[in-house]
Amino acid sequence: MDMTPASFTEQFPSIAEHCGPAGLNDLLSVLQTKHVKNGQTVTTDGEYCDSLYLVAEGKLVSQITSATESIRLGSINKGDIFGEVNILDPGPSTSTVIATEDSTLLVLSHDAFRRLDKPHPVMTGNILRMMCSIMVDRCRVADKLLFSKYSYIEGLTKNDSSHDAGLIEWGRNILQKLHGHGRTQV
Amino acid sequence: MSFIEQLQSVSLFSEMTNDELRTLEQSMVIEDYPDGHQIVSEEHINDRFYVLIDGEVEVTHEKDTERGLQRISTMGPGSLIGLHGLIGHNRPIVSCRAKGTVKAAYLPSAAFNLLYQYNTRLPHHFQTIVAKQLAADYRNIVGELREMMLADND
Repeated sequence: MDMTPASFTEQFPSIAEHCGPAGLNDLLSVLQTKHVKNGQTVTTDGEYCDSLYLVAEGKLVSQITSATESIRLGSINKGDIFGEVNILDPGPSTSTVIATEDSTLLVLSHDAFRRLDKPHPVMTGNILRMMCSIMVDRCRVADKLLFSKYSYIEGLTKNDSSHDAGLIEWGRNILQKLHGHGRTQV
Repeated sequence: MSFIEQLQSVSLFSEMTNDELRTLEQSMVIEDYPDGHQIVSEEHINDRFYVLIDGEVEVTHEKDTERGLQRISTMGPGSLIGLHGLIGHNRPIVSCRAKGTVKAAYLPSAAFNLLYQYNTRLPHHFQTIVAKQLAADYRNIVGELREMMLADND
């Protein structure tokens, strides 16, 4: 897919705003185009991934999976990005992403992004900050959800003496693990 | 122990060059806090990023629950406090209080922003460290959330 600086800026303004003309040209030159068919998996929950994906065309769905079921997290549409955790810190994907339409993705790998550091340190630094900001928001939302679920579990155990008393301890353990040593405290 | 030696004792800074550490020395402040000192609070927007150098900090959470204050954990040297404030200028989602005397280095968000204007490797290096920590945090949270959501669906 031929993506011009103008069309990229129109589709991905949150990234383009951090790029000067030279930086944007170099960024476009390292993006790989990936076409995926409806139903095709792009990333798999728990499997290694090192790239950021920009949705140029199409629609996808994000979900988390267990051996027996999947829970849908949300839709990913044209103009959206996903994989910011993996480009920053290559490792296990946090969700499975599957195309729900034939889609075209622009792929920015961790190595390609790092190669832009030297010629365009301000641009990559600003993009890094933008992705950090996205992650802060996501951490905040997920953390809130965790706490509310924990409160719900605690409520259940208070109101129902027959409920598994170990559940509240389990919830507490999760919170302790989440906020324990080695994790940033926000 | 010099400021730079104190920073080097924290793994976050151990790979930084002496030049980078000298720049940080001009931007960061090391302070001692007495027992019970509130370092960050859920009630107030925080604009400082702290690195715990010595001592322990008690982490609590008191919002969105019916049970009031919840003691969550204790953090030790090398822990980071205030990343979300540094990036998003938000209220913290937990409160942190000194448990005994505590030594911590802090970087005000204004100084963090100023570092970028120098266009050196340091802010980039620092930002990368921050990003990696946030990525690790996010993976942890999503992992726990996944565990809880899947348990809910059993």
